[in-house]
Amino acid sequence: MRLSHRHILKQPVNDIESGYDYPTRVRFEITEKDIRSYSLAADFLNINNVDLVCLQFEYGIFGGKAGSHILTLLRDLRMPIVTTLHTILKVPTPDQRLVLEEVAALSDRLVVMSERGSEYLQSVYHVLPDKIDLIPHGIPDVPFVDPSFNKDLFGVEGKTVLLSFGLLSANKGIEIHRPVSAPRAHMWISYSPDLKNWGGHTIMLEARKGAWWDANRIGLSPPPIETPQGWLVIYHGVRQSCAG
Amino acid sequence: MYRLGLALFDLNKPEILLKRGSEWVFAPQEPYEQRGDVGNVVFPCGYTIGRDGDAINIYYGAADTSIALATGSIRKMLEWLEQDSA
Repeated sequence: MRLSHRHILKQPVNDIESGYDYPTRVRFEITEKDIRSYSLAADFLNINNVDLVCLQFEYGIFGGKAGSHILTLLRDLRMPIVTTLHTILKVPTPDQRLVLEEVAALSDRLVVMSERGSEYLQSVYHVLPDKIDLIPHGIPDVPFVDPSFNKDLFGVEGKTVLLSFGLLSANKGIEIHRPVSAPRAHMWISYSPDLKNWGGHTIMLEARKGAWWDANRIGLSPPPIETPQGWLVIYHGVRQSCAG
Repeated sequence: MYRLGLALFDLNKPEILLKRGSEWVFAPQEPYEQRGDVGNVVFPCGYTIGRDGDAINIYYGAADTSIALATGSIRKMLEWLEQDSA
């Protein structure tokens, strides 16, 4: 099956009443919180004899509990559905689990962007591996240019810019630090919703006492490494002796 | 003397310690780690992880004078933690 560019219909989901100023190839708009518009969208796709529906699935895009409104659309469709999953939670709420399991059941193929996503689909949501396609998250190959040129384009000239993997959300700001330096200094962790206000200060690792190699001062070295078993932390320990 | 050790924390609540090695895993041993601006210091600040998700390249300051590269395996570090937890 081949689709030429002009035969691709797009159905965006609007989160504001006035909608957005879309180009003309957008033929139908879904209102996020209006379940009827999901039924109408299904009718529209069926009437137009669309060959294939590609769904971009993320809980937050669609209305209903855990995005359940999208199920109303999918259940009525008569053509194959290919769903790209942007969020696959290891520990979903009951609603999130039900929605993703039904989206998976209604889809003919599922596209994931990481090996871990594929693992979770199989182990947490019991999806068979032959239904899953791994298409790694890519980045466009762009030439390296002076970053200040791009900063001007986005109106952040002269500012420090942090690039974060995944979606930014409250509590994404996590800092590991060592607020005191003597006589025994521990490793602390703090959380921030906005990288300005910090709270939840807790000691995460204490310097040991006595003759240990990490007896006096400890601190984080490189950023923690995410592994399936947990955050692997390489920390430095200082023992005040000989050279310090 | 600056040395490096390993610890493992909960993925969702990173303040919760799961495992902590009792011994150090990396210490100044080479001449360029023992002698320099501040001797007996190895201090990594970053790493890159290989395509296999296991090979790790750790870039570290040696004796506050040079930058050096150590290579290792994340799987082996986790296995070591399993056996060496205090």
